[in-house]
Amino acid sequence: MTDGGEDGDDPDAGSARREGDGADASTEAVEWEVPWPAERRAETEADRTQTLERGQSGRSQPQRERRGDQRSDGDRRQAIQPEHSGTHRTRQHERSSSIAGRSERPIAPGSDASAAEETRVQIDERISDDDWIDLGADRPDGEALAAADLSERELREYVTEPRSLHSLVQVHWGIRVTIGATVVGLISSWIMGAFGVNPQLGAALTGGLIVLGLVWVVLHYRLWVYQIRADAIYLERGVVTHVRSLVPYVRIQHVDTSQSPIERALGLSTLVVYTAGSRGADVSIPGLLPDEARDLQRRVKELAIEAEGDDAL
Amino acid sequence: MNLDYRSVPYRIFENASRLIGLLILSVIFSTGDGGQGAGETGMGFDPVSWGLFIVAGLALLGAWEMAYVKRFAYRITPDTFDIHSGVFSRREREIPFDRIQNVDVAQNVIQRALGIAEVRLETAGGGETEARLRYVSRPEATRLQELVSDRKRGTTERDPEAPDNVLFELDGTELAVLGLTSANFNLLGLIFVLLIVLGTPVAGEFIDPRISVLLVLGPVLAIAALIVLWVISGIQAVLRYYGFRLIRHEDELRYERGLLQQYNGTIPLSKIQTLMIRENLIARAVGYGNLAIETAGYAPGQGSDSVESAIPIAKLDRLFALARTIENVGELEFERPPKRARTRYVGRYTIVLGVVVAALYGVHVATGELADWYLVAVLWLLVPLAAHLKWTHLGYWYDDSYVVTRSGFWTRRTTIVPYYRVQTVTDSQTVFQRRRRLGTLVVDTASSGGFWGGNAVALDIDVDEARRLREHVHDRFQWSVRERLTSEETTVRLTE
Repeated sequence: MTDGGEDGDDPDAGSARREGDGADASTEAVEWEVPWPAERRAETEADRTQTLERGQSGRSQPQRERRGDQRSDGDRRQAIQPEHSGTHRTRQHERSSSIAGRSERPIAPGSDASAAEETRVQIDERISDDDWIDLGADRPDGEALAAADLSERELREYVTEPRSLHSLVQVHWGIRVTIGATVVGLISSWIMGAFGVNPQLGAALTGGLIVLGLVWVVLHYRLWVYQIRADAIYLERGVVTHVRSLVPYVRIQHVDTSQSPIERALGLSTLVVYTAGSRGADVSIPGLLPDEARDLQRRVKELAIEAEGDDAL
Repeated sequence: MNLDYRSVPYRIFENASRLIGLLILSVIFSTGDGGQGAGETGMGFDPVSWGLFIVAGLALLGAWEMAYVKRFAYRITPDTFDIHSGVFSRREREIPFDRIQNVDVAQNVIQRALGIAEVRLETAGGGETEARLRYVSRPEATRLQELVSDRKRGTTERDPEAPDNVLFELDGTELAVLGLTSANFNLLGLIFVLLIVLGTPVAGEFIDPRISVLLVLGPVLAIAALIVLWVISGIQAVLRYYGFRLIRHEDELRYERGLLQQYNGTIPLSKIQTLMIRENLIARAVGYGNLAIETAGYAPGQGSDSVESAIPIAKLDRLFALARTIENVGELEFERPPKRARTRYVGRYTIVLGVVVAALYGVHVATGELADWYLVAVLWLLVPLAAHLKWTHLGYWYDDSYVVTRSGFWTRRTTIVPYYRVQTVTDSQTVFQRRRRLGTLVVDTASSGGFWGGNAVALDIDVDEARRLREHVHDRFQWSVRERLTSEETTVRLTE
């Protein structure tokens, strides 16, 4: 249910990478020291083990054979690994610390400030191992298909680690949920009054709805993850229905930032990305600091410009 | 160039019939309440003034239509199709040729007698027709169609020897099958419910003994209604697709069809988003189906919900052979979702039935009626069958260029999506799916084909498979975009 950002990766790839990255065993170990909320971490780990087992069991093998002309992800990554692993990890550290300095928000909710700072650093450590796999799509000849004509160095300026939203967004959603629950409660108590039922039940209903709504808000906040990848925006969200989407830059029509009155009061901003798709043609990332939203808008805009396609249809 | 002058009388007729309809309506309503008052003031029913009114109205209308036709001008420039129109408020439009998706020509019986036709220019923007020429002469319509398709390609000269390759022609047998299989299954469910409700003794307790004969008549009426609906939709389909022909003309498909309302249109091959093969229950039983071609922002024909068929009916193997001439998809070997998906459907239908039974029981407790409320639970015997049927018709398949999904028992839809048409890729898991580690993969495209159209949806597949497929489709998409770019560059270089 609550899988970490890690889980967005191809399970095959995950296992293959494990097998291939013998040299990175130490960092792999560090990776799971992250103080996520306990239950989330446990599940993530369980999930990972599961995918590992799946990857190693015979099931994935025939599929790979079916995609015969394509070399497995592991091969490809192994091939690329030596060139990059040394240099960019340090670079990644520099960049991530600057990000941490700019916005001091904890990535894992519900922990105190010092733990949050620790989280930030360690998560970045984990990402510096993993995010370079996102620099391009698979290519049957085994090479990474670099998104756009940017060099890898330039791409790294644009891509981000999987991030969660600003914790203030919970206040925003909480306000919305409370208003909604109150309206429903008022209407239902009015209806109950008309039917001769004690209208105070309406108040109880409102209370219940608010509690449920607040639980939803917290869960929704914890599950929200977005990542600017080299060739797509990756989004993961949803409490009741868990949704993970990839929005390729080639398909992006335009990018907006918007602020509702509540968001303005809280100092938050929303990024809205439009595609020509028929369903869910617009994708929005709520709960961003205005600077962050503008920064994301710039990144997405430039990546979209670089990712030249035919005519976005 | 201007519109054809024969369109003036037709336009007058068209609008006058609308006005007369309004007039009749207003007369009917005015006799209802205001008739008395109108008689007292000496207005309203005087035939002379009515006649004058109508004549004046027709004259005004005629003048208006004359002016409209006179003031409507179109022009073909090297790059754009310009339309200057409007009697009082003028509108000047330039539509670049490479943005025009289709040029359709429609002709109904009267228009055919007059020798005029309506030309519709469609672009990808929005679901509406970008421009209509009402009306031009038939040869002019054909000329415009040819011309736009030539200009769109950017070449002014074309090979007149280029053979028109007839891909498909509807013959008599197929037309008959089409008529028989064009039942609308959305209504079937409604009639089924009617049948159950009216047919059970439960209803007997509610209904007055005097009209209890309805209980016998009810199911009979429902069946009769079903047959009438079937016949009507069959006749409609036959009239609509009479004389259907699909032609491949260089890089576009052209089709013509219709008995009373003749219609012909183009589908540019370069704008095709997805192919969808649909077989409803009856058609499937006899091994037939239809093929819909979905393009961006525009669905041939009207209506946002239904996608017009590119091939209204054909034997399945022929249909797939035709589909392969458009998108060369390999031999499809569908993989079914895991068996636990079927268990999920049993659970789902049981819950639905449980809710229905509970509701009936609630009614029983509240009103004392419906003593036999529990009888509905017998329907549960159908649940395993329904779940199995749903499950057997689900499937997905993919290779290096396409992802194909299939679903639906009443109407089975097989959607073929080339990777380079993908817009976004999403996998999702509802609460119920999470329990069984199932997930749904949605591959979105820019096609405009209604709610279910356009998207390839692989329902209830293993969640790890769904995630793997999401990345796979995305990777393949990125690659195909790059492939197309480089191949375009090489063609440009070659032509230079």
